[in-house]
Amino acid sequence: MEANWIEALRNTPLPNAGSLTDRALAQVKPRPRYAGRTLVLGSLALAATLPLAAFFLKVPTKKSEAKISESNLTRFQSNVKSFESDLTNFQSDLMNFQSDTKHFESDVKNVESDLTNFQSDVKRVKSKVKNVESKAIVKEPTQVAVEPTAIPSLDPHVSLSKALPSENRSQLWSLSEQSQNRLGLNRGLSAAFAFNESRTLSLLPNTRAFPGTQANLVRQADGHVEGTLTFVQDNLRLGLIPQKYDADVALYDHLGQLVATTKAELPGDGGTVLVYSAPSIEPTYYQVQLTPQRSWSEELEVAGGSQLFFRPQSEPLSRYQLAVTKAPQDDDVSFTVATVETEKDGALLLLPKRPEVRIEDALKNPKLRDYTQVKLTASVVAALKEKGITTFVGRRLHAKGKSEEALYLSQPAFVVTTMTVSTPEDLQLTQDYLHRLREAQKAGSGYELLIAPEFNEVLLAAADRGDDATVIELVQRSWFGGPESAAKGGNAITWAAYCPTAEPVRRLLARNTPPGVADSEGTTGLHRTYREEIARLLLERGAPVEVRNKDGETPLIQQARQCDRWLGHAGVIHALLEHRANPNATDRQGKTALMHAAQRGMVEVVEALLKAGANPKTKDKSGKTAYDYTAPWAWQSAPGFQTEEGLMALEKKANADAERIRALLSQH
Amino acid sequence: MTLWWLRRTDTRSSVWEQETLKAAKAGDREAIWALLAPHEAVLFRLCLAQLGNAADAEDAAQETLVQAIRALPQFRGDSQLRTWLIRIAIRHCRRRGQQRRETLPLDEQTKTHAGPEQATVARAVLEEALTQLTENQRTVLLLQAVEGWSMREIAESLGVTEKKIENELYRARKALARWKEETYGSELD
Repeated sequence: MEANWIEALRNTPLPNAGSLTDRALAQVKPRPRYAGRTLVLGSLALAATLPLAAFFLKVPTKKSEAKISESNLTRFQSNVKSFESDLTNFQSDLMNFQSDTKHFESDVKNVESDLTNFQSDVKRVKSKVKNVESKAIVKEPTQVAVEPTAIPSLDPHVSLSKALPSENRSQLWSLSEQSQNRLGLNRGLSAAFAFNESRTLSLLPNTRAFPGTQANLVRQADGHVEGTLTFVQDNLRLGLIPQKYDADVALYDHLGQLVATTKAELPGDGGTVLVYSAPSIEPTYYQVQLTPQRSWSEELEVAGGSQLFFRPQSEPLSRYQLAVTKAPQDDDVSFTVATVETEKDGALLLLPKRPEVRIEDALKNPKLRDYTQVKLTASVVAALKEKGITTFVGRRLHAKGKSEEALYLSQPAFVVTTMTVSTPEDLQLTQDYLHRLREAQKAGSGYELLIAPEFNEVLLAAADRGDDATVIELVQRSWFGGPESAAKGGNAITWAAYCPTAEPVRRLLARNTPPGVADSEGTTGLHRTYREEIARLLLERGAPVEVRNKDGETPLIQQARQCDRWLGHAGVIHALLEHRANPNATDRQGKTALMHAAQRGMVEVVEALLKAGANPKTKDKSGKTAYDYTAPWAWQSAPGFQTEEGLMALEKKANADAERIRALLSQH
Repeated sequence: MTLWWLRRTDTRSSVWEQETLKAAKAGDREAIWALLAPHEAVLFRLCLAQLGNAADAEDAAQETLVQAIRALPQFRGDSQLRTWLIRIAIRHCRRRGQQRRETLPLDEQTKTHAGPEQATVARAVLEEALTQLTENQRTVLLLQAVEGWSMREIAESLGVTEKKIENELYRARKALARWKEETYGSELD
């Protein structure tokens, strides 16, 4: 093949010798010779003649020099001759200079006419750009989408409890009747919290932290709770408001105005429904952020800055169309961007409606394409082909060194395709959701999307069809700061193991996804999970228990290092020990799981490890044993507002646990 | 001494080239022709390797020469003229390739300018090579195997190390072998 290619290059007939240069030279105008040389010569000649002329003029005026010697005369005559020849040269140079000047003038004229042409070109290009921009406004559906960060009040699916296992949901709302404590929450929490036995608000297992959360609740004598529980996210505050208002969660805008409240009741899909606010508290505005360069119909009253549009509360809330009626230089543009509907129970429903683009048009006009990157695995492509979809608009890329191929799909065409030939719905949902999520996170938000019901729907659908890329991206965006900051590599299970529920992992395993794949940092699902259920699923499918990460830690060591009084991990350790994980394995520092467990003050874990045969006398590289590492668990960082008595009790318990660990270790 | 040093360091072109360059910079069209015409062939073949068909390659080579003529006054002579020309050509081809990818739909990207007289195996091979070899691999293989340049010259032209050129050549040959094995079998041999 090499020979073929080289031969083909050699054998292709060359253009005639010199013809390319000739044509190139013809394209380039000769540069005007702006008489630089002539001017220099002229000035030199002038400089040479001036002293001679002076000498010549001086001679007859002085009588005392009347006697001119012959030699002087000869020299003078020769000088005159050279002066004459110089003068001739100068005259010819002057003529050249004049002709050059003419050339120069004509060049200047040419340049001027070129400039005029250029200016007219610029005008034409500018008008074209305007046209293109006005068209782009109409035809780019992604820019039309209402920013998800700014429409919390319009999203019907703000979910507080999606991250919770179902059995724990009720605890979120059932506050202890006897609790009289003033409760505060100084650790960032997103959703999962409940009152524990001691009536303090505490973290549930499987909770992910969210900064900026504050709670300030007081249980009143009549049993209801007053105060606010606030999650701050951009301009949105989500608060728990007093029960007497017959609502549980409230949404405030950035001005502190109550926008809407949510019902405590959870519909079948697990999301809470955003309900129009209680009559006693009137919201002022619905805030909708729109991209600039648009004018909106009179149905939305324009008030405020260039990008924020408010609809006054006084108008009846029935059905709203956000519509573009006029675009610059294009009077007949009008289409619906999104509709807002009120459901029977008062919930707002935002229905995005994209302008439809025919696939033929998208094929012809690249500007109609969105180029959202969607990686289609072989199985998805096969599924689409089964449905009769053979045309993909977009750029087909072959990932280097991989057998999979990635398609850059154009969103509008893809949407139309899915609508007309009924592509698997989950794929459409996935693409739409990922797109919104990426856009939102790019804008510094996306929290609402991560707790929306679509998250689990998309995640589970992706797990069902073995779409590793989507699963990994969702998990990374949700808990690992996005694909940019997370470790690379690993398969879907490596990452989905961190999910609070076992369902994604279960579905991935049903598709025979390998359970023991490590990412670039050597972390496997068993290292990552904190749910006993997930760990057991992985272990039953043969996930390796002695695999090590980049720090030389086996899953058992990492789990012992991360175990926490409230966040769990103890269950995972039990499961690992049941599956014969080596309790005496050491990491690069020579530390064992027992040392970590003792350091975290976890009596239960220390007991389990000792029972499994962990050697308490092992020393690490610094010569310390597990006994030396023993410490009380971190009672200071106990979640929830703690009374002084409560804190003292916690400290006492932690110290007692540490003592018990020391006793256990010295017994062995 | 100066000449010896120039040759030793291999950073300057020949004395004739220097003199012609001086005239060419001053706008002497004959000097420009004398300077650039000898490099036409290599520029054409380089563009052919990058773009995959003769018509595009001819246009690109001509455009390269136009750019070179315009930029000639700025050419300091620190590198060899052909090195400079090669760089301009590579840049131009890259831009052209990008434009073509952006403007043409997927199916048409590899099927442009289909002249009936060119519909030969050689043409197919040239076009297919676009998908099989990277831009760098095509350049390196062309300069080494067709133009007979040394590793050092190629490395200097592309502004990379000789080791890198060796690697590229190895990868290019490997890619071609794989291409032959997987796609075409023994049909084209």
